[in-house]
Amino acid sequence: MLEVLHQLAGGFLHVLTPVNFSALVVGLVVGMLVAVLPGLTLVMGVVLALPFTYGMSITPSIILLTAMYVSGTYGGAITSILFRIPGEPMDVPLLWDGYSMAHAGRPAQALGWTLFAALTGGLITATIMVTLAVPFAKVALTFDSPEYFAIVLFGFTSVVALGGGSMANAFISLFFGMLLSTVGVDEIYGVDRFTFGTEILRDGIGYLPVMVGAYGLGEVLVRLEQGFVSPPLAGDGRISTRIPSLAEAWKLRGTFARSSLVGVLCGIVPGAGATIASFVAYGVEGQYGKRRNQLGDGIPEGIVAPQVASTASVGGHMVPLLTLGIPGSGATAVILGAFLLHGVQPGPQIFQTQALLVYAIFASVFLGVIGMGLLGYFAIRPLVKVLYLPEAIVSVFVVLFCLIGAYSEHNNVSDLWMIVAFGVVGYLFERWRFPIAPMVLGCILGPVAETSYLTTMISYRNDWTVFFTRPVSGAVMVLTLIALLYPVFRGFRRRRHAVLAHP
Amino acid sequence: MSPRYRALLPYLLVLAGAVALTWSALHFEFTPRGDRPGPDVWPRAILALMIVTCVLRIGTLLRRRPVDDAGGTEEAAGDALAEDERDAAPRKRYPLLLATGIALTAAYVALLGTLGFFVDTVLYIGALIRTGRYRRWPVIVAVSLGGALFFMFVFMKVVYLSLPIGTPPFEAISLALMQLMGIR
Repeated sequence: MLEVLHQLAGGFLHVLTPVNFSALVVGLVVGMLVAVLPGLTLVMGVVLALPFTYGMSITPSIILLTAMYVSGTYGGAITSILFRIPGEPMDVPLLWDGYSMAHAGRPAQALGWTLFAALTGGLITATIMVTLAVPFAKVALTFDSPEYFAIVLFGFTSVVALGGGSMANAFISLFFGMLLSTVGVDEIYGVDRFTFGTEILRDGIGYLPVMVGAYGLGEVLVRLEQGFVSPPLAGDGRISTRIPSLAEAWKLRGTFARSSLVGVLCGIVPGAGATIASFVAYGVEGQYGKRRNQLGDGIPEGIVAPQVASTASVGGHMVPLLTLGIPGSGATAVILGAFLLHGVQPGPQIFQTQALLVYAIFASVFLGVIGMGLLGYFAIRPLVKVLYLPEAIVSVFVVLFCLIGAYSEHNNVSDLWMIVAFGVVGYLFERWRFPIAPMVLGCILGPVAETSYLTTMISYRNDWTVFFTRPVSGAVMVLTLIALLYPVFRGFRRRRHAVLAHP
Repeated sequence: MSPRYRALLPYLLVLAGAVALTWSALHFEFTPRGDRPGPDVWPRAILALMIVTCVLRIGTLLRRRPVDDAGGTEEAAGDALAEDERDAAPRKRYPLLLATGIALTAAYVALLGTLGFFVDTVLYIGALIRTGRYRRWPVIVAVSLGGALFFMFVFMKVVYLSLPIGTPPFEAISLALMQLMGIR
């Protein structure tokens, strides 16, 4: 433990160097702005920031994106509470008690509870992240290709199963992403796969145009089809924040503990991101909270539970990302992309080869949470002003960032055509309710899954039972089956309840 | 088209694409190496799963009673987000705006090499903002010019990115602006 603390201290010093600290501050501000603007999702914001990291070294790049991720989990709460506009899906539960409290004439208290909850959830998750990461990495060092295949498969399955909505659509999205990753010249046999004789496809389809096109341009096209209709806003004269006293907060210790646990667990399980954490924590509060009957009437518990959980999920997500190289959400998929663009593969070895980088990331989460609190308290009025920008203007800039960002990777116009193509794909996905995250994860992790599967088949002479007979991979495969069967069981139970209610 | 057939459309398209790609995967040209899996194994496995998923989904949709079609997806029934969305009034759609937006973006990419980054971006920003139903012309002109200059400065001067300068006569505009900004 002393060794970890020593390394963490080094990480703090590294973050406090001018370049890294600037990246942290910029990331916090931009992340909060992105989360405040309803047209821009947090993942889209992180994607748009990615091209700016090409010219940077890896540490400030990852700090910038992580800081955006941390502060992005809080920014949307402000607009949910004040204007009933959830900046992100994870902020929807805040409409129920946060907006009710603000509507009842206590907006400063509502904002104060949210800020305190985000701060607490963030610090708890950062501590747990530092504590869990090293043991996780030590265990992961013993893994061979069957374990990696099983873990990637579990990641895919849980993203599909826990993502909400149609499982069939999520699976099709995932398979589409995995298929995209096979396009181009095969590395082992040197064979063209799905290139159809075109040079542009021989180089393969990178995950960057897929991510940027589907999340960025696709989302703008969806909103353009709706005519860029932003709801009218009330004046911002009332905006201020009143932080609750420690005595007030202590009364809600059970809510803080429950929601932190939900957030961290949802973070560690791939697929169950901040949105799921936020809804589950609100649901748990509705079942076990002392004042569960008053939930929805504008009580602090209804604000604290979803906010603590969504911020706490960030640290949980960082553990599998850093120790196994497996992202559990759209935002962490982009952060993984940044690692790969800089030639660093996250995994258990990173704790030995790039220890300073890892601990600088940990330290940046601690500092980011504190910075997010300060920014949320002091800069709330100017932050909310961005909501008054016309949506058409903001959207054009988003598209241009997407296009120039993709162009800057190879200075190649053909990448721009990829963006346009995947922008249309992203629009169709949104229109037909196919989730985009599984496609992006499939595109990024598809090659890892293929390589580990083929390596296992070669090493174990095509014996597929090895995935089930080795202890760790067998256990993970069982978890995968549970993740697959859980939604089926949930659907069956729901239908049974419906039949009993309306015979 | 009835709601049921409209719901089937994406799955039929994916199914057709998956079948065509499976045919393509069956014809990869390679020399097998012993009992090692070939380069076609993995894509074929993905495509098989995709086809099975589509067939199952199409079967489910065909078996569903018409009343379910109007009510949306059954999987979304317990999803809090979906419920929240369902409560809201259906949003009006403007397919013409969408088509114009896609056409403008495609035209922007196609003309980038000819017009150069600055001229192309000015035109694109102005046209897309106007397509987005924003009507204050002085703001549109100011944002178009200011935005293009901002992007040019940030990406060419700060990030050292080589953006297209276009062909004559547009090349002269790009070169003049680059000289003004001190970009070499």
